[in-house]
Amino acid sequence: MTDIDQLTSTETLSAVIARSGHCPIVFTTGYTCRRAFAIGDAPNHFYMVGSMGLACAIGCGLALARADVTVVVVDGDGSLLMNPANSFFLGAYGLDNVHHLVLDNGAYASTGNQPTNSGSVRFPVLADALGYRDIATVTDAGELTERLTKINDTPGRGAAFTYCPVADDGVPGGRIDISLPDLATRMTSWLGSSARRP
Amino acid sequence: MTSTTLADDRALRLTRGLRDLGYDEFIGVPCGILAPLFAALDTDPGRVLYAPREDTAVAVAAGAEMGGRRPLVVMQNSGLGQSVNALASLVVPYRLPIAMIVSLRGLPPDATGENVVMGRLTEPLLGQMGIATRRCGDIDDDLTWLARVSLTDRRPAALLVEPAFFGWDPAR
Repeated sequence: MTDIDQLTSTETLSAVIARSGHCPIVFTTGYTCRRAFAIGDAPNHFYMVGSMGLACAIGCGLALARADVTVVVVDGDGSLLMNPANSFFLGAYGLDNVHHLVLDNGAYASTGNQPTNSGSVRFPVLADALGYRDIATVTDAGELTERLTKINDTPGRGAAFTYCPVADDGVPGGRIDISLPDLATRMTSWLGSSARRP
Repeated sequence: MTSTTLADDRALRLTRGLRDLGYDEFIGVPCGILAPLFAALDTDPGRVLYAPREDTAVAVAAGAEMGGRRPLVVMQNSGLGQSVNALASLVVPYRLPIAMIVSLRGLPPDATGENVVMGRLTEPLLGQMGIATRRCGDIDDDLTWLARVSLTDRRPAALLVEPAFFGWDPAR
């Protein structure tokens, strides 16, 4: 985690937010949600502040409802390992409009940096076994932006999995101050009015 | 009418009623008590999306609901245990009006030791989470209740199914 050239969580999330403005984005619990909110809130952001492990399942539900958009899911190594069964569901039903990104910092950052032991897992191999069609490991910002553009702008091209080893960069800003019911209703409204092909 | 055809008739009536109410995405994890209902739901024009875990089913329903669909989750009450965090930290606090059909394994005549504890816990657990419940009895009344709670009041709701309702037989 000390590689000087390694992407940070903030750089990765900033690129995802910048290139997913036309897609619903589900952010996993903990610092991922809080950091995304601190970088810049928008009505296409769904912050899953609880229910750790279920970000991809929420994304699958959105994808079932809206085949015309690419649903972006921003997961962590710990949260994916908690419930890879979600991705099995995605593969089993061939959901082809989900872009699942996993930011692997090797730790449960928000609870005090305990190890996830994710180093023992070959995430791209796991993704292949679970049924993702387009799998890549991304280590630089330009590559990530290019990939986000390619996948997010073409709903239905096949479930995609983007593995991003990241360096953690500290405690994000404050907690999300939007009420949880408002987070849900604004996503529904946004999907009804603004979600679109680019 | 034999118990089998009574069970199938109930399952078909419940399925038709659910479709008439506009439920359009059925996500479930199987249960023997609910087998006739799964069979009816799996017929054209609908189908059940089978999830590997009940909390996955609940969260898929949450996403579908936010995306503008009208999902319904079908599960065994053992899986309700698996789903507590998805309900307590997602469905209830985000006020998502998820509708569920949950079996009541562990209630008579089901005396299986692995199910009696969850059988005892099911109604208090849902009640403490703030999820409205009703035991299935008269199907028309059950559907009216579900429509009122989940569609009109927009609150999460669980219709509960006792072991014998669809003809489940402990000897089989």
